[in-house]
Amino acid sequence: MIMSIAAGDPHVQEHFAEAYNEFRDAIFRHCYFHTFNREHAKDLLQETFVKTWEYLAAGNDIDNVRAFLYKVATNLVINAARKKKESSLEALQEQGFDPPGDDDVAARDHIAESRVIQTLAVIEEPYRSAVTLRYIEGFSPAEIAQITGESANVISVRINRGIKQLRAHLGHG
Amino acid sequence: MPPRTLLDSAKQIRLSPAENGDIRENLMEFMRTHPVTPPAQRPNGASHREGLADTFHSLLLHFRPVPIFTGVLIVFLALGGGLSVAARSALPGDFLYAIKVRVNEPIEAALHLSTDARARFEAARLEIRLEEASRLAAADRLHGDAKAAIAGNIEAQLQRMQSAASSLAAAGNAGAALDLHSQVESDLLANAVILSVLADAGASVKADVQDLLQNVSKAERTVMRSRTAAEAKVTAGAKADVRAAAEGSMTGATNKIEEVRRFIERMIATADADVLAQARARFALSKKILGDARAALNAGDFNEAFRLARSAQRTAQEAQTMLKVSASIHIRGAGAHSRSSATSPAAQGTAPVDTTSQRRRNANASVNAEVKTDVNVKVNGNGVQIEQDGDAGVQIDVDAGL
Repeated sequence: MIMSIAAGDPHVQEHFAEAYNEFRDAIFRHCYFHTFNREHAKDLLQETFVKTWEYLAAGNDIDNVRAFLYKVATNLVINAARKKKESSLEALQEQGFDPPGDDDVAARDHIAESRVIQTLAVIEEPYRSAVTLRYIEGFSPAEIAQITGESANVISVRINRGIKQLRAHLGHG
Repeated sequence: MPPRTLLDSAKQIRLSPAENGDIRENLMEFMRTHPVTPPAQRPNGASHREGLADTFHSLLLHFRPVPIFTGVLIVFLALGGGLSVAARSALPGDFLYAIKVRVNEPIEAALHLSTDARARFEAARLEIRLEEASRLAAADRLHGDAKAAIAGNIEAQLQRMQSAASSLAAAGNAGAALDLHSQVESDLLANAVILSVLADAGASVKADVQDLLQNVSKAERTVMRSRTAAEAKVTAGAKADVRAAAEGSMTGATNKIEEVRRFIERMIATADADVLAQARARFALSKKILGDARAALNAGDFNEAFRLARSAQRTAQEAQTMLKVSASIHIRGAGAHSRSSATSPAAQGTAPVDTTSQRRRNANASVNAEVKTDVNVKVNGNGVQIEQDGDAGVQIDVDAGL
């Protein structure tokens, strides 16, 4: 796993490409679970890596690439949400979840994806982020705290509340 | 369904191979055109900024709201077209700006009847909006309502241009759509460089200019994605003629580079040293990319050769546009033979920030170091000296503490 990237490293491009391969899907999911819009999530994913590259290109080193990427993505998601309200649960329920008709989209499990998105949309923020980072992306509460700027205790509380909401919605409460 | 099952299912959500391929290709393109600067060559800026600040402040453009009586006079002159002429150089916040964008430009737009002509006109309008932003920044007027207006105008014009490009592509003219996107991408990048120079030059406008820079950089990336998609359509449409398309693009890029070389020579005496250095670095990068395109062509990778040749042409165009814009807004430095020294920008924190200004400078300094046939970099006790074609055309003290 790519842990750090130094701007002065002669192989910085290769390391960055490795980081993209390693974290692209996780960052994409992170954006997707905030926006509930696949196309928008793809834009945010690309923007995340562009901004990270700009940071490196300016001569800065990154000690923890994974945390850095999540931090950039989270900032972008927050900025995007300020400009445009994310899809509401009501909208998802009324309009249904409609993935784009890409040529290769058939390769994905639309039904499962739709179920996941609609279920996660039920959990309120900031509990949803805490749950997805903990149980989908595998971060520890301390690592989530580092990304979000909160304390580990606060994150643990959010995870518990998020799980409670999830259980209640799935009928396992 | 147990929560665990749902969360496991969520882990399976990922990019499709095609989605991944598109994003990866965009990123590779971005990395190639925005290389990392080795730390030793990082320029920096304080005293340099001070010098430029004096220059800029002495040359600020002063557009003042037109007094009422003058407005009445101009309305009178409008009977002979005077109003229209007077409005041409108006900026957001000026009395005549509404005439410019709501009367002059719609009339001109109506004169462009074909899809192709209309698309080119919309691209030209975007270029005008970008230049207005630079002029506002140079005149220390890029704040408040004027800043909001120009940001909104750029975004709206970008959408009009994208729509016009879509119409072109829908009409089967994929090549023209690609040309349009390439031109606009060059305009956006060149103007971003100008804005970053202006931001560095004037501390009072820095925050506002950097806000706008973020918008321009974002627009640049939006157009880059459209341009990449347009390139893919053109090469897919060329099928058996990809080789011919690649060779044609090579010729176009070669001609463009020669044109820009002559243009830079003409601008040496009058251009601001900082803008000139960035334009020359961009020019050097275009030659390097053309070399890569030639290698790809020789290796039989015609798709890659086509893409690289287009990139080389675009990069050369960026150099030319930078100089044109700086000349049009009257950025005049001490000339290519002047010396400017700089100090390092403040170290970046861990929080992600927009570093466009640094990125442009760093990327360009890096390129200067790479293309030794055109540009020589000398490191000595007085700093880093960048020379082109063996003469002391441009000299920049990057860091006296090396």
